[in-house]
Amino acid sequence: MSLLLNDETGQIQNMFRRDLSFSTNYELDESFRKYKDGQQKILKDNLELLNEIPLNEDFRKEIIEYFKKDIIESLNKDPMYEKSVEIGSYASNLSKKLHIYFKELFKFNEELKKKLNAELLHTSKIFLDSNLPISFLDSINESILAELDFIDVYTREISKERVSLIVNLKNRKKFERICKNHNSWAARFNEKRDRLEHNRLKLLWYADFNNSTEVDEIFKDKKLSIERLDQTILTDFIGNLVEQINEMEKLNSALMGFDDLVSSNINEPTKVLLNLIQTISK
Amino acid sequence: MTYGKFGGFFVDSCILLPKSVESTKQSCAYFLEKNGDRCLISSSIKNEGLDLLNRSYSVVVKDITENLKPFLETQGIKEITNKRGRLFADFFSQRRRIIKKTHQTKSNVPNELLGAIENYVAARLHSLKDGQKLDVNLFLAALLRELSIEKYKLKRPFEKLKCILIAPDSALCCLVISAGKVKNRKDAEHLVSSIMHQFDENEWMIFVSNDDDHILSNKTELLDIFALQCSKPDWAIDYCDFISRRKTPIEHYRELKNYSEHQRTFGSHIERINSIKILS
Repeated sequence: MSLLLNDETGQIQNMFRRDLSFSTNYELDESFRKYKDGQQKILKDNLELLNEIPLNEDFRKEIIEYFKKDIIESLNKDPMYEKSVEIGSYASNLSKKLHIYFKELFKFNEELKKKLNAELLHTSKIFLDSNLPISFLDSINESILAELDFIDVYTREISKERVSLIVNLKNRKKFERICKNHNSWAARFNEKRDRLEHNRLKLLWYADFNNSTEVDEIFKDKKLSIERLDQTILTDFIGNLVEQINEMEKLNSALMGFDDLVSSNINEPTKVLLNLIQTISK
Repeated sequence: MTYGKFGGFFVDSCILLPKSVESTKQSCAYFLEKNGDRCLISSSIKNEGLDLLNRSYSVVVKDITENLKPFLETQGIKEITNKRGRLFADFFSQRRRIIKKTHQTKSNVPNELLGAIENYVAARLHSLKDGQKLDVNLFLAALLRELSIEKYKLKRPFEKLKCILIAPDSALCCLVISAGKVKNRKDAEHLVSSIMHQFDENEWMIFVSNDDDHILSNKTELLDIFALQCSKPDWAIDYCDFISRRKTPIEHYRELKNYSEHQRTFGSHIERINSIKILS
């Protein structure tokens, strides 16, 4: 056995410290990081919203603790949250993930519509078990319906964009321009939608939390009583929500055609409302 | 000679609400699809439409929450099926008896309102599948949900159309009622809104309606005295072409000869309201 290996000179090039070791840590991929960051942001948003609800301070502290534990836990079990992060990762790599992005997004929007429809039923049930004014039910349901309209309008617009994106997949400049245009109009919609949801939850939480005596009672079925609420605050919260509904509707209707607007089907609820209109206007 | 400009179609609420007659439904849908961007709505029509819608919705919601729900609770009903119709029939009979006692007027409105709600509840109850059992509260909540959805849909066209804010002049309303033979005060207000806007902007407007009883049957008077063209949606576009060949509304009115007494009164009202002389 030779003492020196071939080409060994006893010299090394530079005395820099180079880390050539393999990483001993497993790295989380970007979408996993986004998943975790997203959860923290959601928790933060919820805690900020909670701060806007007039409440007994001790009760607020209990709810904060509950939120910290429950929100992350429920997000971990929420397939829609998981899906939203996944879709987000496709969106940030759109030219490569175009087809799967739209496929998943269209499916996601359908799921979201089902969820909002379930919320409509839930709030109607809450109202039924309460002595709250009709304006409470009306504003909450209309805010959900405005959001449903938004999803329809949004889905239709992005369906058109999808075609343009596919056509221009190889034309980087045009592709970028379509994305830029999209981001600009979608940002306006998203901002309104955020505010709408924020104000809807604020109203619901105000009624729910102030009708709960223990933290275990929040979000559970119970009789909501107007006597537990401050009339002025309730009216203000409803008024704020109505304002946001109007704003959202304005944006929606700008993208809606007249054929979308005029309801042509006469079903049972239409019939009763039209009959009543006719009778009342006599 | 200056030609008059066409300002738009003022649409009546009947154009914006769903119709049961297929031909009317089609003509309104076609008209709005083709001319929606040239349609306007007066604040009087928008307010009346939304108010009627809200009131109608409130009537049903209140009856469900304040009367039907407590009735079912006192009967100890927890679940319902499509076979429980007689129970609901009892409820509506009871309500009728109460209405008879409490409403001593000749008006049949409370009974008609109740009848409409009864039809609705019966239709929804019978729409349940055989053997399907529903928690009572879920059934009632589902009724509230679909009413909210429908009300929202009906409201949309009133919100979408460009609204012209006008306070209808009450003296002019009286003239439309007496000389224009429009018997309904609300309809007179809507017509006055269009007339005022027409002379204020000096642009021709067409009032589009399907209301034969109060509006279209008086279209000759409305045109002769108030220079307001009224039309069914089917023919509105034809009147639009015709009207565009005329002079402006003010010039047109000034050129009329041998004003009738009603026309003179109308001219003086417009002069008072808009500070424009339209009589020669």
